[in-house]
Amino acid sequence: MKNTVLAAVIAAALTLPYRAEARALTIVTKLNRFGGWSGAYVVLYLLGPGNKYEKTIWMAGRHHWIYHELSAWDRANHGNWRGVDGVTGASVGSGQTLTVHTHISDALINAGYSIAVDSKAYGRPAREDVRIPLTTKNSGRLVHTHGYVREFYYRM
Amino acid sequence: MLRSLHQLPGLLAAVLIAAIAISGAMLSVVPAYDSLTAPAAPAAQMSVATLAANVAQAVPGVSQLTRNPSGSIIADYSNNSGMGSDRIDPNTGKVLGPYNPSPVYRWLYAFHRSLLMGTAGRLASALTALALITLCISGAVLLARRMGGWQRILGRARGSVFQRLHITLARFALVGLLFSAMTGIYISLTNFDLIPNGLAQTAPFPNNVPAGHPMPITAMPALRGIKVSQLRTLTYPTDPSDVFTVSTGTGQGYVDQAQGQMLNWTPDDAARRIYEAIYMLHTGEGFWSLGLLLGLAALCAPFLSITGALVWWRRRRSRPRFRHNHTSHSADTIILVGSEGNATWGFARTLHDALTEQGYRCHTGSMNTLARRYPHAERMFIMTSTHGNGDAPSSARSFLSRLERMRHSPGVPVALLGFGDRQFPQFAKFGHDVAEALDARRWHAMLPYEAIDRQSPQEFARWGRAVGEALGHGLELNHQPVRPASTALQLVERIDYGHEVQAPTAILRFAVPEVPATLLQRLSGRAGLPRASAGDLLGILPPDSVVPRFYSLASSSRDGFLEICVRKHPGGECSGFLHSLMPGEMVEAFVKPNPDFRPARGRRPVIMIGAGTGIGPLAGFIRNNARGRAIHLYFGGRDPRSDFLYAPELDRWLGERRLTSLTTAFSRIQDRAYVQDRIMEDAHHLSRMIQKGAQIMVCGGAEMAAGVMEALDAALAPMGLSAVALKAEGRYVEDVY
Repeated sequence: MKNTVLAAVIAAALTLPYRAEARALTIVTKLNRFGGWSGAYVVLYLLGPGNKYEKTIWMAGRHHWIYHELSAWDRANHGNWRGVDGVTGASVGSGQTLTVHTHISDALINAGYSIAVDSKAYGRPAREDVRIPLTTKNSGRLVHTHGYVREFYYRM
Repeated sequence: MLRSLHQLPGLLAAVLIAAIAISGAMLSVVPAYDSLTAPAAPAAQMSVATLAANVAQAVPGVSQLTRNPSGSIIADYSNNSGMGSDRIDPNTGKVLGPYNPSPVYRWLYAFHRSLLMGTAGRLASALTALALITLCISGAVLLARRMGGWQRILGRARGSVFQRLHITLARFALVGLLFSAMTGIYISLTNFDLIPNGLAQTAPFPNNVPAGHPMPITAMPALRGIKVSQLRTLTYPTDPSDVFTVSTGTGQGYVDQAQGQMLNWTPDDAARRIYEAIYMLHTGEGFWSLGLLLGLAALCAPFLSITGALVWWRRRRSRPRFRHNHTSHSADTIILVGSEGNATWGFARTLHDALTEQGYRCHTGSMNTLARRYPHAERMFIMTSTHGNGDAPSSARSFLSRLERMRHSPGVPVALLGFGDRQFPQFAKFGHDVAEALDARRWHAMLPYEAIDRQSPQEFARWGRAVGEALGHGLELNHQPVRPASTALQLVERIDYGHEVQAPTAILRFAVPEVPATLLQRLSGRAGLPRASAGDLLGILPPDSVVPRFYSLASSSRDGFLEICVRKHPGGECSGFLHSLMPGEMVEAFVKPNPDFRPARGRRPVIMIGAGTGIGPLAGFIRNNARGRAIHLYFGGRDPRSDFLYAPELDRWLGERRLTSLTTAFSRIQDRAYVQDRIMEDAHHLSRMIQKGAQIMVCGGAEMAAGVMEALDAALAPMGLSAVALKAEGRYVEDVY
């Protein structure tokens, strides 16, 4: 059916300012049947050591005035919604899957960095769905949540 | 120009407008339904603190409270088994049940704003709103123009069934549709980020949140200061160091848990307040009666699309086609036509073709299309017939008002040709009116004004030679009139009246000859009489003539026969022919609708006034008055013993209550009187009925009609009413010859 895989997108490569080897990273986020009016806003972002905000990997949802309602991301990002230029796409419908392809610098792996997923449906509160360290061991590990995200994993 | 501005978006966007309007109409019911089913509003002084504490107790894991515009409260929660939403009783904070917005509603909502097609759909939806705005404005201007000015825009609609339906619906729905389209396009523009909606504005997160043990929610001063009726959303903190996020109808801020103080309160900016007001006006959320009105208006949109398309199609089909018809901008010769049926268009075609053959670049159009400028015109022809008692024919109705708005005369020679019938006292009257109007504006005459009698091809050819002389070369106008399509009808009965008073009049009843209908006729349902209502016109084609004469019908086709009243005029070609007919003989005839001469809908009384053969259509209306509506008939004749037309039938209809009262006046007896004398006698009674909404229908000769109008004006003057005012309302209709 249509709702199994909807969005497969390619985000800008995640690199630190120094030269390093990069490798492909695929992030798969499957949503619950939350039954929203329209799609849910889903933001994938990278947290540094000490859960410090580093960079937004992907923002699913086009209306910038909704972004601040993803309050954890908004606070971490100090309300800088323009920082997601170039890594935005359509919101994700009930029961659909968002797949993001990107490249990531080797220096970030097994180095205290983690991937965060926050989401919200129209007129409903935001959720901090996933916080998972970016390690080789976690690659392919399935995460289940009771929020909008039903299954999550990344592979590299 | 304006009409194409109305037609083009109407035809292109008809389906989209219908789809979005229907979904909008269905959504418009939601606010009314919500406010009906919303739980009782909480006590006025109830604070958010009380509600938030109650809900925190009743709903474990509550994360957010939302107050919908209808006043219902929704609590979102998440716990070990997942997320969910409950409806909350605002008074107790108790759970009323799970909150599940209907999937139908969700689907309609998404369809209405994006046609379920994402960004492309939202763009289409916005363009549809733009088309609707264009349609509303151009339609309003067209309507004002048609009705003869903005102050008369609510007058009686005239024209075909579809035109009247289109006008009636449009007048009802116009304001609502325009309102919905304009608010809708505003919302679309904010969605495309072309207008700020202020929703992105947030209160800055406080840097220094007072630390300490959380106090009870009910004690928090900031939340106690907000009434439930002001709340929009309240987000609960996720841990003891987090804050409440609260937004109301006026702004947003944070409330710390240790001291319950408002932090960084930020009032909504103007963009957001405007956006929310417009959003509320568009959806009717929190304002359900407006929502229902807008929904009702939206429901008219698909019918407006359909009737509009039908009007367009009929107009297009009936428009005569011309070979090599140049645009009004490029043509050197302009031919403007005023025609009620098609006869004058036929003459225009002959002229158009003859001039085109001589190398002129001709533009032929209706007189209603008179433009302010004809940049390349070197000469102009205006050809017009006259409708009824000297009125403009339908394709020239707005000519004189357009002429008035023209600032300059075109400065080229103009030839004006009228068409008429010398038997009428006002021969080609409208042509005369146009001639006077052109003279008053100092238009150059190429030829003196002339009028053609009864479509005579000989007179037309003579006029053509005069045109040729003016142009400096020969011009042969060889007009071959087209005989209108007609049906053979058989005379089945005739009753003669009035011979003794020198007014020989016959009531002639026609039916379809008794021949078995062919299979094809039966299948197509066209066997039998042409469709007609009483008051329509029966066009009779005398043998060897292509010029029809029209008689008002005294019956409808449902009666099973077509009946007319014909007075024999000395030297009258057609009336002579009809009077010579014996039952069993045949005529060629066709029906021409006359929708403006009908009793108005409803049950208000009708005052019918007719003299001589003018009683014909009135008798038809009475004959069909099975519902027993009050009809008061005034009939004028010469002598009750000789020309009291329909005397036995009127007697019977009085008994059957199809006719309420009958008042007669005869002019060649002892107590001679005219019908207008009877009206003066009954002035008090009549004016009372008219004041209560009665309609007046007058049928007969022009002289009698003028007398009746004068008498009625005298009767109505004390009440500040006049025949002219009633005519404008459509409550005074005439069929005068």
